Amino acid sequence: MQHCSIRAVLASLPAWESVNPGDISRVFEDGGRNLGNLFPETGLPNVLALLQRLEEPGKPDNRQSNRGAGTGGRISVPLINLHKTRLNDPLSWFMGTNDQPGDYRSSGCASCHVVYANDRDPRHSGPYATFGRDGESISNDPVIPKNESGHPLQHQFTRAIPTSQCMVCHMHQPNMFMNSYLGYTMWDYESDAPFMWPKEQQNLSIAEQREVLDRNPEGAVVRGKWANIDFLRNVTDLNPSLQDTQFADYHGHGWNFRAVKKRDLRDNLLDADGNLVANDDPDKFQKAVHLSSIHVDKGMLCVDCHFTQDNHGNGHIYGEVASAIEVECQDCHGTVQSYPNLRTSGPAAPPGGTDMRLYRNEDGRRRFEWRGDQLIQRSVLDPEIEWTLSLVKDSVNPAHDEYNEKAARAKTMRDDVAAQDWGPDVAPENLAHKDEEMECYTCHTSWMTSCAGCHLPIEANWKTDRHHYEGGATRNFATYNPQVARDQMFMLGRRDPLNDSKIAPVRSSSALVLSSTNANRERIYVQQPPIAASGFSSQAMNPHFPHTTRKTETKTCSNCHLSAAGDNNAWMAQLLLFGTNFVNFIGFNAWAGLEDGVLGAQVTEWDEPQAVIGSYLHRYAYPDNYQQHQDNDDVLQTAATHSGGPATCVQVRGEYLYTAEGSNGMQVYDNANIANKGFSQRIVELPFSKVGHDTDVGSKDASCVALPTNQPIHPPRNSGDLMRIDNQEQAFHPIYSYAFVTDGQEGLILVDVTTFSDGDVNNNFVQRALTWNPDDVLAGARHITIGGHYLYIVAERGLVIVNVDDPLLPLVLAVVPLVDARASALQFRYLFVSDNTGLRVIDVTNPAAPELLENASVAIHDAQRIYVARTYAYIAAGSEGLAIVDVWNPEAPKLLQIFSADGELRNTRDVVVGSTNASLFAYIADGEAGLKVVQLTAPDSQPNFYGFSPTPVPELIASYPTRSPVLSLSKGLDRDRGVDETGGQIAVFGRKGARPLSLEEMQKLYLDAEGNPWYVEDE
Amino acid sequence: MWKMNRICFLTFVTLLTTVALAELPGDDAYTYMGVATCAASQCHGSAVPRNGSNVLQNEYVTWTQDDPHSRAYQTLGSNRSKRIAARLGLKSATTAKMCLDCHADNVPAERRGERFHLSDGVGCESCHGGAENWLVTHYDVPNIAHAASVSAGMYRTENIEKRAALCLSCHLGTRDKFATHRMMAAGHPRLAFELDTFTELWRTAGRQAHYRVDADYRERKGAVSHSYTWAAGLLAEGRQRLQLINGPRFAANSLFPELSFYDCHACHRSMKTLQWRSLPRHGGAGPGAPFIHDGTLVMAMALARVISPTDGDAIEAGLTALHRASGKNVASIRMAAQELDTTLTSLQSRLSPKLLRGRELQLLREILATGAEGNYLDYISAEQAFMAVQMLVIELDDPFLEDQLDPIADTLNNDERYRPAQFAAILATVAEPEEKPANIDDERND
Repeated sequence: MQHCSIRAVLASLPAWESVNPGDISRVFEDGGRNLGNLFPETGLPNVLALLQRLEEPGKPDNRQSNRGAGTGGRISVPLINLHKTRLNDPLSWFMGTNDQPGDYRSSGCASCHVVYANDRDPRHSGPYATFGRDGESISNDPVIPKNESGHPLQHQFTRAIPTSQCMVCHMHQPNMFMNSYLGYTMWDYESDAPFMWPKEQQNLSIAEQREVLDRNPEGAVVRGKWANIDFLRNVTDLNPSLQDTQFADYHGHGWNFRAVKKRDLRDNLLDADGNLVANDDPDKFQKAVHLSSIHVDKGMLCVDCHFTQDNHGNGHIYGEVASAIEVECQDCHGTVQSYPNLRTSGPAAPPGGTDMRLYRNEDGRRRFEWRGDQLIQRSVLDPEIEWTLSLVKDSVNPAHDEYNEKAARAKTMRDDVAAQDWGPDVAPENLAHKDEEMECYTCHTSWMTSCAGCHLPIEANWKTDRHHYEGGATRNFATYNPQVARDQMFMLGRRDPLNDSKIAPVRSSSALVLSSTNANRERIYVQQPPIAASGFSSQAMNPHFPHTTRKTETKTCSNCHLSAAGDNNAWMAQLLLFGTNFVNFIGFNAWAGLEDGVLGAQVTEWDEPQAVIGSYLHRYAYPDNYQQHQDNDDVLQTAATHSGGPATCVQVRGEYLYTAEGSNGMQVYDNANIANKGFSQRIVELPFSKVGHDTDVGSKDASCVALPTNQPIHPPRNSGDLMRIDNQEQAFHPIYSYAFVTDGQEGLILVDVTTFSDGDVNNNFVQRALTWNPDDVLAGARHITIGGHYLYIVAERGLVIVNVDDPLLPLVLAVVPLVDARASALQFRYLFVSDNTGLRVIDVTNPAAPELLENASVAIHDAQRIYVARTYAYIAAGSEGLAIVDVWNPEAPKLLQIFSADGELRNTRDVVVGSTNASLFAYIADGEAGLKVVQLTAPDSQPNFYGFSPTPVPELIASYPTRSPVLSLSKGLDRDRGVDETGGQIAVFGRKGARPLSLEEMQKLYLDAEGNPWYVEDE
Repeated sequence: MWKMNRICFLTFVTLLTTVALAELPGDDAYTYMGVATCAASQCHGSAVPRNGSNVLQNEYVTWTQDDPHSRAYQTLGSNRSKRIAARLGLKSATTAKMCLDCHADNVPAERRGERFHLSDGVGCESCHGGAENWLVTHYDVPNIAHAASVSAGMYRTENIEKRAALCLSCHLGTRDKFATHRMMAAGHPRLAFELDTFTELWRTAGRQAHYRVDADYRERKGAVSHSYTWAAGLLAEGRQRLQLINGPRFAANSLFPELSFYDCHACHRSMKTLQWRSLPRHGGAGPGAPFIHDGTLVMAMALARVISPTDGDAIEAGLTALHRASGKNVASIRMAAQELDTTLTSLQSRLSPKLLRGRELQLLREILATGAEGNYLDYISAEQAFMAVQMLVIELDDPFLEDQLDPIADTLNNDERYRPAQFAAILATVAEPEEKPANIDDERND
């Protein structure tokens, strides 16, 4: 049964505080003689904390609890959300919370089969839309109060269940997030912020916050207007006045959902014919296509596809929702070769499939019926509505009225990349896009949700009820805070074997970062991504059906293959799951290397939303704090440093900061307590005696350090039969155990750094695993970029490409001579390099045969470090400031602008970019002028801020002057990188056996048999 | 116990006589509830046959998936039906009474329940009767006897005579609904029917049978042999045909009689070759005379020769008279038809399962011998003969005989190219197994 994703047992949800944590975060304790704590540790029954009285002096408590894993502070934070917030609650055997529009329902059978008024949109509620969204009764029964929320329309069972009823549960992330079907996604707190945040900063009392958070687990709500139910239920009244977005009329959990509109990659609104809709057009939201599923547009509700078999299940317990589904696209639409037989063919379908011809609607009529050559489906809700189904076979038949050339081209394309011919005569086995190998919705997806991050901050002083299992109350609580929910990311991977390992869209699924504030209000860890049981990063991905199927707004050829125009390199990097350095998470602190050490500067609020200080969101969500910031002349107030240096490269991963510090060699700092007020020194080199801890690797002239991923991982976990056989996990590539250090004199140094993720602080000793510099090829090595098992090292001779497929036996693949090269950045087929002329571009499609593109360069007087975020390269340009280069087509880079912030940028050395909520930010190492924060897009400066790559409109919003020059910056957490450039998996994949594409599979999308790139045109 | 049964039985008979005058489903006064009311997965819509139930419970599934009756209404929407309707001057086949009467459960609008839909074609209640009064009780077995449901309006499809009347009402026609030559000329296919063959074809149409004759079926409803079903069907069809000849259908106000009573191929044949031939039973009709469709009556004659030879002679005489009369005038035909009907009625009144028991091989020999002599001159007789032979071979349950069926069927796969001599020749080759066939399954007999 296991291969069918059927589970033999279903365990009760364990108490969150007794589950082994996925993260390896530590809690630092002073050690020595502890006095009894006034605030007993979480879950520790012994209030006197006797066991803690004597501790080995000066060691952090690597157990996070006296009693081992799953006790005390060593708990699973994600589970607290399951237990204590509305995030997954209530399960259907409890009544709905009946708090807000979108929350009204009953329990058990009636939770679906008895209809409540939840939503006034007829596309969501069908015929029930007229009954409002307040859960009020329309019954004639005189004893049922009218105008009181929480009653069903009538106490009557029905099979005519509207989508709005489904959305009571399926609107939140762990429950399929079906907003996409209706064309909505999570609101990001930024669009139309002026309407949604109070003019005066809202500082609710703890009691008031508690009342709101009981209804709505999102931390930001306590500062927003939508904390007020009346405001919330009337949010759609704002729609006519809104500039940035439109809201949905349902508000399950008290949330707001924004509409997703058809946009081009630069985020211009588009109408049905693909024409631009101006941002100042008063009817822009009516003209721009709303990207709901075509099925919604036709009037179909959830129950018009998901019939009995999908909704009631078959009695088995399934591990994944997708495995419990019977219906598939082709069951009703057929294939190129055949008409639909109306039998289900999904993973849960019985042998031969369930016969959907048997289905009848409530009025007794057949749900499906062939009428001549047409297949008719009747609406479950409205007996008079019937639809004629699109039949794939007809759409590719030139003789048929329904023939669609674009569809025929895509569906009958031959798998001959040179000829690219197509038509009805292509044999099924020669089709490029075979039904057996890819899901229909790989192309028939207009957009998909990507939840690039979710912050779960557990707090020890919020005594709250536990909703599950044993019940009771504990003193902890965690809010739920989506960080970056974008709608323009499109990524591919392979489904699980149960779904025939087909190619399917992959989304980033709620990549968590966890924080913990203890009873003394000490932040004992901050925004730590946990590590999956498989050792992979928790920036989780999963193949899924986005439910945003459309006929016109589909994916096109150049969405998965190289465009002839050469302008989709960034898109391809996203597609293949390499990440685009756009949604990266800088977080609470920006990390910088100084001439004499390292710096961690607080750049956001701690409360939710964690707005970047001085940003657009900050202005609206925290008017008082924003004013204070302005009064401070935009100077950030909080930072911690540690002396050392010169730190020419810094990279944070987990609770450690890796630096290259010249003659100090490579250093690994412990920065776990950066926000812990119980610590006077927030960044430490030695948490205790050097005898028990040594994390520097001496070298002559360490110039740079790079980690294969900045997502916390632990490769040793990924071994054994449990991983290979039971969990069907891929193995880690061996590079993931190492840090790669360049040294101007010694060349390349490899250091095994897995000790930092094993959860044991008593073994933190690192040493060289390899020193490598054959023929002094790496003399003067100054910068390193890792792309899979290829290293791109900038040295005196130019660019040296090294193959570390066997990390301890590196091979020089190629050397590209460059004069005074400084740094590089990789994006899919191109490596961007700075040298004394400015920006250069090297084609590394084949890393063994790199090609310096002579015509692809941008002159910059003093080009330093480079950061490429989607289609723009940001180059620290020394005294000129920040150079922003348009690299839509990397072979034809164009300078967009040099931004100097009116001369405030004085000596930029490094730049990193990250997203916070809907906005893009650049963090700049500005030499002696300190750290600078620049808002690149904001709803007021760039109305097209939602797109794949809106044009940046930089604006300096904050700075932090440092006592010594800022040389380097740590890249933010990669939240959209699931696999590396050579197919090595990094992030965990949901759905057992699902995975990113292998290198060979990726290359099939753009290289021919000889290894040469081939190109497509969409028309 | 025995007494109890007797009392029940008496009640049953009494009730039966009141309803039995009956009428076919649709002629009653009940409301028709619609296929959807039967289709729940716990009722007759189970995905698979249920064990431990007195019925299979997947009847709705079988009907939907494999039973052409479920598509009877859809057929009216086909391009062919549209052409037929146009030729007949109908607005649409899907609304014309003459089409709906057999392609749907065309009960009057006021007797259609909320979930009743004409589009379900020939649905559950088309045969089982309007369920208004038995829908919510009939499944309460064993508390509710089949008889109680019958008394509440369920049609006794298990009763062969009733079943024959029911099927024939469309597959042959009645004075009220009838597939006329005009309809066929417009494109409607020819009708062919034989009760046992069609029962079996339909009962086992799908992967699952519509019903299974097992112990509790026998207990609740009784069961008869294939040969009895065949025989009763033949007589019923023969009689109904003769009665229709006596009714207004046969000769309306028209120059020609209703031509669908005639053998289609009597006229519809190539003019290139001379194919007209006659047999003694045709009463010496001259070249070119069209013959009344007598395939069923010829089989009735064969039946009678085995179970009641005098009746056999009488049927042959009546048939000859009928053919001879058809060369004269309508009144003569009707008179001959009436006489023949009397003969059949007499035979029908004596027909019983017992009378047929053990006669299967004899019947087979009779039909084969008649055929080998070239008596199945027209395709329709040959078709009836084959269906009878097949039924008997299956009843005899002998693989040796069964193996010989396919070659016979092959000679009949195209009615346009039917060659009587070939058919006669192949019947002559049918050999009997060396040993006597095993005893016929007595359980099948009542």
